[in-house]
Amino acid sequence: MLGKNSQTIAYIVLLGLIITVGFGAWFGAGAVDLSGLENF
Amino acid sequence: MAKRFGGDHSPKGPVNAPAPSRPFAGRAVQPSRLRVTLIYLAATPLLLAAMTKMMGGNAAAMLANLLGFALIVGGAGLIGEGMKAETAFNARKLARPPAIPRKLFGAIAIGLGVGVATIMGWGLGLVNTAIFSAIGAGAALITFGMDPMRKKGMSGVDEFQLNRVATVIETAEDTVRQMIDAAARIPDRVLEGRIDALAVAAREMFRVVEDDPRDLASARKFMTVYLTGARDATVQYADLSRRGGNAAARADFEALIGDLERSFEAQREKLLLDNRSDLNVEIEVLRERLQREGVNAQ
Repeated sequence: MLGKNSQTIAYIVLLGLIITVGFGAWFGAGAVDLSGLENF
Repeated sequence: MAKRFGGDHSPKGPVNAPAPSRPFAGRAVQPSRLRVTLIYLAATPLLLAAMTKMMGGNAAAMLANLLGFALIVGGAGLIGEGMKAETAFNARKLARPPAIPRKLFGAIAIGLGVGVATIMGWGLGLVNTAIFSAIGAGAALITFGMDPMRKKGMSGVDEFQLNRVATVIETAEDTVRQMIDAAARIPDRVLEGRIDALAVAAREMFRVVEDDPRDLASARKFMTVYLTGARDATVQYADLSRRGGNAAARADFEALIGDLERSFEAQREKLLLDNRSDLNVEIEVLRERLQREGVNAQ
């Protein structure tokens, strides 16, 4: 069983990560772009 | 002098009605759901991202963001269920681990969700994705802990017998829950309180049986026949009271619930007494043996 402090830190990291990834996906390019398929 | 207010239509009935002696007995502390709810909130930018990609005409990235959102929210929900299962596990003295390790699966789902959103929504490379994914799953595991994986209170006693006891108690707990659910449909706070008291008495008896599985034989009728009868009567009375109710039926039902509660308590006392007489026999046998073998302190 880990201590309360490390649990809290891990939780903050988790929230931060999810928010960051969310905003990254919002403003990021997106890897898969299917618009090229339109040319077929 | 201050006097408790109460009338026929007060939530707890008239002032002279017997108040439940221990209203919180046998109730487990429910873990806070705040941490799980905040994860839902933290994942909402992914929904906005999905909307932006949709408006930008990038269907694949939109799907990826939605999938990431669903995995994270689903994982958090699973973790919430796991916390509930863990509370139930902790409340019991004899318990089998939950069939599905929900907290573990939830953490993995969160890691996958972060990964999908990173690689396909954000467009980062494989290495970054792997690191983010691992951090997500690991942080979720550290925050919420692992599920109980081992059987509890089941060592040194006959495995078969213990499994039988665990099965009977799980079924009986289900019956109690169904009875409480049915009681919630009865528009009568006094009766609801009585049924809660019956549930407490029944659960206290379960704990006694968990302590000493040999008690199962004499408690079995209570845990199956009487409890099922009480649940069926509660369901039927709830249906009747929905249709208007009937004073005679209410009085009969209240008497039945009271009788059952008392008999559950009496049976529990009896089981405890049996345990004590077992202990007395054990002590006597040991002391006699000590005397016979001359180990007595001189």
